[in-house]
Amino acid sequence: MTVAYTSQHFKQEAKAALVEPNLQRALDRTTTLLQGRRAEAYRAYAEFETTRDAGSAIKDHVLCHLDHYLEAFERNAVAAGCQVHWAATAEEACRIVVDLCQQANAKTVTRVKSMLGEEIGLPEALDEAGFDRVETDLAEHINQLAGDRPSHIVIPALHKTQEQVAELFAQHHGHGRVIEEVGELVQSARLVLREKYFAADVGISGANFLVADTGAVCTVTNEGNAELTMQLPRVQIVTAGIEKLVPSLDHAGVLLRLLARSALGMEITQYTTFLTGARRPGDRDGPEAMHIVLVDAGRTDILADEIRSILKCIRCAACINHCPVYSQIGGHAYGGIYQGPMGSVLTPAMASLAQAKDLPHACTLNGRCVEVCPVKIPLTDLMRTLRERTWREQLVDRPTRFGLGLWAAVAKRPALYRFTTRWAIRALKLWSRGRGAIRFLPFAGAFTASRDLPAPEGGTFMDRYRRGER
Amino acid sequence: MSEHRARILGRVRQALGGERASADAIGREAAALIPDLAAVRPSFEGEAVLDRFLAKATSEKVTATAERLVARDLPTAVQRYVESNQLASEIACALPAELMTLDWSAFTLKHVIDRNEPVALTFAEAGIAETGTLVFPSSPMVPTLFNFLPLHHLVVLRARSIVPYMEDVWRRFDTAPLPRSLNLVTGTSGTADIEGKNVRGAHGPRFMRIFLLEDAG
Ligand code: SF4
Repeated sequence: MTVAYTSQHFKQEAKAALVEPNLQRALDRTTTLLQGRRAEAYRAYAEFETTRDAGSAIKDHVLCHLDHYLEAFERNAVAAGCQVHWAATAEEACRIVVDLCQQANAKTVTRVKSMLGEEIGLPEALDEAGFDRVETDLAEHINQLAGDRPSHIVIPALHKTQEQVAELFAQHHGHGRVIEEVGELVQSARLVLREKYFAADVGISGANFLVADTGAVCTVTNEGNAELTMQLPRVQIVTAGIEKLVPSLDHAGVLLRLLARSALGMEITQYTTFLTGARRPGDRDGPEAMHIVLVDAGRTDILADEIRSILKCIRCAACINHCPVYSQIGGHAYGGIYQGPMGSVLTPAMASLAQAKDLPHACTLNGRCVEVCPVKIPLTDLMRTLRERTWREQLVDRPTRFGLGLWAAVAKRPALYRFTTRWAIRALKLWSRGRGAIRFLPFAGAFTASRDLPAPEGGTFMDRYRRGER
Repeated sequence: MSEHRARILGRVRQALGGERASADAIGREAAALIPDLAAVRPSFEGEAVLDRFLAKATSEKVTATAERLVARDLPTAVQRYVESNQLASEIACALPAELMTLDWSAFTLKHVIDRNEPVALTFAEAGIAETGTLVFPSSPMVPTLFNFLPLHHLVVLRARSIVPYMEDVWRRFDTAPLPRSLNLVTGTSGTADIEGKNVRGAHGPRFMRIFLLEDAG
């Protein structure tokens, strides 16, 4: 089971997103808030820069000795009573998890949000195998009800407004009420999910860190859903990318301080949990078995590539929250699991460069992502490397690089973009005169020189929206 | 399965190339990555550990409330909390033996926990001043779920067990094995999943009260 990437539609999706009013509202509200919170945390932590240096060095060190750390982790996790599985591919990882669920005679399976799980298509694999899959992270619960993919790695339902969530809960929580207060919305989900935790036979999570010298799995959440998901069911399964290792608890501490601040502007998340093995003699709770699935799924390819440093990523989303392109188009346009700058590097590596060729071009090169990345990944360099590759492999014509100018303009002035698209559409219609496609535009220059634009119909989405044609 | 293991490790080695360093050399390199812990954690020099802990734990972001008392007054303090929040006197309790000898006659204490338990009273092994965090290692004495299921989480903490940093907690496990579940809990369960707005009581406790025991010795 692999995820169906749709990154080849990036340009169309991005354009549609720019004029989607609910999305624009949700993006405005959230990215500004998250930027502010991180800035505040940064100011309050004089050691932030030295901690970033250490965090970056730790991640580099682990990648350089990844074979050593994988073996050490396995040895210690097994000694602590875990069963460790290895999966070279996404399909194999899903097969292992589905088999384990079947062996446990599971009906209900609870999940904690894990980007790796999304990446390998685990939700789909569990559904296909007929399990009652329950997403427990509030945002993932919202996405599950809406049938949506995550649009942000930390806040996966960032694309949804509160009003949309209220409608979903009214429909699916069995009370039919459109709740207006956000606290009551959360309470509504709490009641529904509480029952599911107790019904679950298997709990599945990802890992933020795998601690090599103890075999512990570290997860961080604010909701406490990881704890209920991992403590209640009989069987616990952790799926983790092979890059998640850290040498010891001290090294985890450095990265924990960076992660919470970079993601949400917090000093520490509410729940930081280290799980080491299954229920021990005398324990009154905890699972009977703990399985850990170590997943490659393309990571060893990246390790051998010039873009290796993207494997240092701790999935904090700071680069996404500070990306001017993301903050205009949201996450779904990227057509994969990861978004923004980190997604523009990871998705081409995980899907294919041909399919995701537009992603590394969707960048204004303003460098904010590099400034905020807590492990100092040179994201703009990595995107440049991939851009050059798209030219070399002739996936994209060189002139598209002028698209950079376009992205910069879009990112700075969304209102202007909306205005120009409206006028451009009128002009395009005149220009194409029933030919249905436009090969050359006098005012758009290089951007359209490389492709045919479809002749527009019926005005921009915004115009249609205003006319009530929804 | 072992076939996938060999494949992954083989590909890792191929990607990294060259001679592999010895475990000892890697260990030395790893230790050298953090030559000075002071450079990678916030300093609060001059601030007493206890004050820092309380300030953080009761801050707007962490949202616990706290009171300072001596052990003998614990039952009355708990009773006051329960009554002022109009909660029942039957509560789920997982306290160490030495605190069970106090006079709990005003309560019905139970040692199991229900799925929608209103109140649980538990004991934290340590507090971390840096962040206002409570440390709960699992053990037969202390089931983990007592810390996650209730709506009101009442926590007993000894003032003398407050340490400055999380690394001070790690030091306990330099020689002893990690517990099955080591839970660092900082305040109440929260979510910002709907438009980034902070809401409490997402899945775990909505309220946390810390009873800080300041007995000498
Ligand atoms: S690339 Fe850096 S900033 Fe972006 S999510 Fe990863 S760690 Fe965070």
